[in-house]
Amino acid sequence: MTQPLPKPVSQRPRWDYHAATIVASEPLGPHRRLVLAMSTLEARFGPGQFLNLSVPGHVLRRPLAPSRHEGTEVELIVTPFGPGTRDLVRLPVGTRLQALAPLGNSFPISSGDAALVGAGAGAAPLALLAESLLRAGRRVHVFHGAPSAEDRALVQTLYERLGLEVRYFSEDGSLGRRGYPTEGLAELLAGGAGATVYSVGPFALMRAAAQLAIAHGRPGYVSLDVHMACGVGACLSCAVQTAAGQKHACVDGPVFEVREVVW
Amino acid sequence: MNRLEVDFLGVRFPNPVVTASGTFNFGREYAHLYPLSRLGAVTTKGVSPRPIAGAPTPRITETPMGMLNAIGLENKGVDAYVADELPWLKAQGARVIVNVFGDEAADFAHVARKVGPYADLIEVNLSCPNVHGGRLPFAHDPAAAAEVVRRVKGATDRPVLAKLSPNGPILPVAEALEAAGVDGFSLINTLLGMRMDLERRRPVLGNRQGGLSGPAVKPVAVRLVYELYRHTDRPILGMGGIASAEDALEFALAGARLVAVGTATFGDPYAPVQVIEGLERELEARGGRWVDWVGAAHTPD
Repeated sequence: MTQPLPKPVSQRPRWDYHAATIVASEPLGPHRRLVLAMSTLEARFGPGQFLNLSVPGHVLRRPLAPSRHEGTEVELIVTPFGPGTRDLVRLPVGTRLQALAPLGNSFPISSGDAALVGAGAGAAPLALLAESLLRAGRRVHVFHGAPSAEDRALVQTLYERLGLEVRYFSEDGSLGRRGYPTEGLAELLAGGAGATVYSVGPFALMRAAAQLAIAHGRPGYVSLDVHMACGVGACLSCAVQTAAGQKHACVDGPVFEVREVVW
Repeated sequence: MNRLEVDFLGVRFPNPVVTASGTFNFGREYAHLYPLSRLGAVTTKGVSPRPIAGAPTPRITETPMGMLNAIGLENKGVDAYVADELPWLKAQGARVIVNVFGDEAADFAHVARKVGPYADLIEVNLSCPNVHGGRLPFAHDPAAAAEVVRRVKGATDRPVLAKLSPNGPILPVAEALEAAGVDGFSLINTLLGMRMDLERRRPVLGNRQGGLSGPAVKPVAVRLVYELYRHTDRPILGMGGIASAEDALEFALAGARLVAVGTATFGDPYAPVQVIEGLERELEARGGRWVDWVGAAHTPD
């Protein structure tokens, strides 16, 4: 490639402390869609940026990247995984939480077509990205993977409301094609599509998407999910090894260009 | 009248609430929320002679009412902090406690000499491995710990606190450190612990074991402060799960003259300020001053 790659957008807006009230909570298969009202948040979430959300009864906050930000309402997709997320999805509408936001950097908008490769709740920041890409007039390809048809409702909510057609890949073949979403990406890139690759999901998925982007000489970006405590650069928990040395996902990421990451 | 004012080893603190090392970096991340001078002091992240990359991830995991961490003492090395963060922190008007550590006693002294001009107090982290002493922490070996304090005292004119480990023999170490000239103590450092990942059938943390902190350790910490207070006339900086003014007052009763807020800051960046404001309200309501509470649980009935 002759052109330097666009860097993830490091706007480093000054984060602040915001009240966040749950105004909607609904199941989406194994996930839950939560909508928070954050009336004091003036900044807009860039795609990939996150908030660090308090969970009553828990010592640490939970970092989550929104899927939508309309007016004062911020939409999150939470997959119950450990004790914190299990408690978070059970909270009733009206619960008041606190969030540090907005945190981290965001995905750059591609100059041409975009290929989004996600799985599970990784679709959340990709959906916010898709919205920005569409607004910028880009063509957006979406490849979503899940163990079964369980993410059908998630995909409808996040992507189909944007009018996007999603190519679905399930491990058991119960929805879309049997296999992994990187197979769809491989075919797209092999066909000569000059797309920028964006991936959020399990580490193995992002690594496979990154390898395809590199093999085809395309720009690629991932959002790395590393355990973090403070979310703001103080505790140094979320170390990421990069070609330029050790960085921290909360302030130097979570978005990294795929060639920057030591996979 | 400032009910919270306290003198600690000749340094005047407007209130007794400081940040705990490793939970606040050098303060820059939080300086837009409140002036750092509002705090009793900022205790810095641990500083070593050379940069340290730290432990493999995951470095933290939550536990019931607490957390385990194994950051692995990641830091940029003393020269980077003396060039940048420490002058900035002093310029904020904050009182500064610099936490120092190294592989051997001479390393501690080297760091203490360099950070001395920016430090109101030096806190010596004795929980790091003694590289030339079988890699057991200094805090497990009274003679090795005493050598560290002796060398640091010879390298700086600032008061020196020894941070004690609840995983080692506290009273024998404290006694050896007093003989070596230590000015005061801080405790507790984290309690060693482990959490398992049922899917991977391995410890969660990249370093396998980590240090437990947060409300879960508070009763252990209060008891150890109480125990140490009975055996020493040197002042104590107490910490371990403090998240409220009531928690801070428990430590004061046990014998802590200063208190540190650590893990609570991850849950709420305003936690140290809320403890200060809570103490102002509590002492206003109850009458009296902070210093009246220090060690008050030890007075005869």
